[in-house]
Amino acid sequence: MKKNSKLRLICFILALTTIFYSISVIGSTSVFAADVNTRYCEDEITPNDNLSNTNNIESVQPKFDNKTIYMCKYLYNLDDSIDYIYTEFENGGYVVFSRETMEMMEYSLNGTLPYTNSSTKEYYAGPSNYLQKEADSKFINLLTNEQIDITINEAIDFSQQIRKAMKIQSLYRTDINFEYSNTEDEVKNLLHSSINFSNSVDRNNKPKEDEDNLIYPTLGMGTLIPNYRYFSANPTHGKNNKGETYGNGNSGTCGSVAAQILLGYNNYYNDRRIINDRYLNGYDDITNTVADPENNPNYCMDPMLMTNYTTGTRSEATGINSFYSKVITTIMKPNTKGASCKEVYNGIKAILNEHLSSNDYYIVYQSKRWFLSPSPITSAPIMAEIDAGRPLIIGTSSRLGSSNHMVVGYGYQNYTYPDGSGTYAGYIVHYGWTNDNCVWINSSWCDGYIALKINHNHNYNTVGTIPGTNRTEYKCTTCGHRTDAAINMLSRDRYIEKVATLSTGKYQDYYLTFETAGNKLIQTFGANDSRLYLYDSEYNLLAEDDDNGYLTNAFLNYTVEADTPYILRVKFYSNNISGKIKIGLTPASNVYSKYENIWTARSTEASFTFSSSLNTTRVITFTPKESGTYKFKTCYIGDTRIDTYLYLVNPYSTDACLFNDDGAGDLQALITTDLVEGRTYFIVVSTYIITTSSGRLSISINKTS
Amino acid sequence: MMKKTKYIALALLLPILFCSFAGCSAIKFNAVLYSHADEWVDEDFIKDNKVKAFYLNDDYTEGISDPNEKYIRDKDSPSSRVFIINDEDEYNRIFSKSPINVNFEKEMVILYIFSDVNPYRKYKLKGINLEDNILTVQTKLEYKNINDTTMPYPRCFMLKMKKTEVREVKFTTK
Repeated sequence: MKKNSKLRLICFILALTTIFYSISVIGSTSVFAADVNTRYCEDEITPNDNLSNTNNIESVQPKFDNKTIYMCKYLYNLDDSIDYIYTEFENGGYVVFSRETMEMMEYSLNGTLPYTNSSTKEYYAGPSNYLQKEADSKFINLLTNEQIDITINEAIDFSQQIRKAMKIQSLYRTDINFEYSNTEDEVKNLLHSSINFSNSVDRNNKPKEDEDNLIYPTLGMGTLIPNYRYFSANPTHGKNNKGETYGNGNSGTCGSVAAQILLGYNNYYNDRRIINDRYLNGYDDITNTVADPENNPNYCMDPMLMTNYTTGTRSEATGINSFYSKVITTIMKPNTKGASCKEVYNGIKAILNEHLSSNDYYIVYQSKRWFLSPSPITSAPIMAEIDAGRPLIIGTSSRLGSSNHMVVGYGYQNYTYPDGSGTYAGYIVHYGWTNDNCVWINSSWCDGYIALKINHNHNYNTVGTIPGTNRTEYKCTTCGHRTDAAINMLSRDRYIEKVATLSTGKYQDYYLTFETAGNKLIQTFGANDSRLYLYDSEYNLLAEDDDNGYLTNAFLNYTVEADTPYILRVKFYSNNISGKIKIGLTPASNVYSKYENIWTARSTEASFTFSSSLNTTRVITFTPKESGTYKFKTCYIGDTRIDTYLYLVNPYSTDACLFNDDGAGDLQALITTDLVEGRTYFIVVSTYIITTSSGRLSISINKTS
Repeated sequence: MMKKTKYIALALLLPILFCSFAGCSAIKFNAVLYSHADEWVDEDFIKDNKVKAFYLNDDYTEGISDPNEKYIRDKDSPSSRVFIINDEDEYNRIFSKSPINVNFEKEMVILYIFSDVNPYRKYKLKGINLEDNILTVQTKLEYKNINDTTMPYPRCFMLKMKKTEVREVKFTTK
């Protein structure tokens, strides 16, 4: 090499070294801690990003030139779509933008709006309508403290009208498919390039994690996935001690522990094909059988038995039947320590692909780990996963105040440090250490996540009564998932009842499918105030009701799709009540908004005549004017005999309803029973086989004594 | 051309030198940190001076005992302990396996035992300050692009430094 070329090469290398060193030592890149006092408009851009509405920027720029942004956060439209950004400035002043068009909804150079500086979801419904949700369909105006009832349909209509008026094309959801970017920079860019964010809150002074004193939160002040009890059971999982090796000479296995727990959860609830029996507890390696069925979720007598064994997986340090070892050796190369977010992601995929096809799941990861400028991951996708009922792996970083760890998140809530350090947003996690299954971590310590969604929909068959109980076991014919909380309404089903037994503050979710599409009437019965919620399989609320049923029972109609999973949630209105709630479902031909609107009679005798249609039933109510014994009898009209069926429900009771097929002879139904004066009884009448038979029917009601 | 190249090289070298000196001046008292000193400390001493970490259960028998009880967590001990060692006898008693020679006429040793979760990373000494005889030692954890924590275990730092009057020592990690 010539002398000059050699010298140029040396200078080039020196130049690179200097630049590199200068950035790391002299330059200070901004390290944002996403604590509650700083940013809340987390990284989010849409596929159809057209946020640069220059007209609005030009009108905004002069107004906020000298301002420093104190905080910004997303505001929700009434249908939970993230349609707005609220930006508040130091020393007063605020602006509310439309996210898509950046149109200013309102602003002030001096005042602020009563939105809280926290991760609590807050809503915007136009000037003076600054809302927070207290309960489903109940909002409170933060300005006036006024309580406002808005049904879900009203919320959807309102939001759609607003978006239409603003010519917004897309409905924004907190969906992991969206890409994210730094929204502080985005807002900064759109307002003015010179605008600053507040330094008055020292972003680097957020509390650091103290692994010796983990934070064990009081649950109930935030959001948990519905199946959070899985983590309360503390499923068996691998250990991760210094000085030990696991798998194939591996250590530093926190990522593998998190993956083991996440896969265990999804196997337990979503698809039992993920983990083979030999990797589950209760399996005997000598006989190659499940020798201890009560430790195995697929064989225990009660399918709802949740111990750390039935929820967990085999966790020996090594061994061909240890699921923990399998996870480690899939994620980590032999004799290595630790794993990156990507390696854990790839390992989970490899395990899923052993038994599932790529269509059976969706997995994504994001990591913000970069050695020059560590940055917390946005909380929006993590919260979105939890809102959709899915736990996920969250990575933390020592450069953000935690340790270089991976945990499984299943909730989020704020936490107020008792030493006055402030209130911060964070996640509820299984920490992966022995007995640390409910730990709070600050969201600003987190730099990555891995989100997993299993696409399998259970197809339940009835197995039979669970021994020793009055509950029924259902089992998925595809994956083997077992439950006592499935309602699979077949085409031939005229009326189904389920009784939920609830402790105080608890709810019951049912996995619901319908063989036939169409309107279904779903309501509760019983003496206490109850509520119903209908969700899709991702816990998006479709319908709900409180008091449209009998007295304070719930009552709703919904047009369902066939073979599509729904989740029906039932609970008492009050968190202080325990007991039973009965749910009734029927494919009612007529849609009524309230129980009291159902075709009815109030007397000592009545007669109803109607035409029945295929795949439906006719619902009627009857209020006896006097207590006594009454006879209910069906009949067909015309020459062609039609086989009928009859149900009679006492709406005040959770006891099983009365039902009859041919008690009156001639294939007609007959029920004779005592009725209470003034109580409005619920009646379901139909042909015997609703899928093939219809016709003109009648029911007569007479007091006999 | 040669002259031009020399000037360029000089311009590039000066910042490097500046940075190097800037780094050096932060470490006073000729302090040197050995961040994996747990390997040198006498095992009984570690057992007698526990911190909040997991320790091997002395009663555990492989194949017989419950595997969940192989390690027991000490929740009652402090998070950390500091020992200031000023004589050779004490040094040899504590650091029974240390290869480091210490001249106790001019030097001293500080042992810091704490609960750590990063056994596969080094800590570097970033700064050391003495004020009112309180020594503050700043360390920085090595960066790696992986997650490799373990459950807490007792880790030892050995800090060798110029003999100085110290009544209290605080360790911080950046």
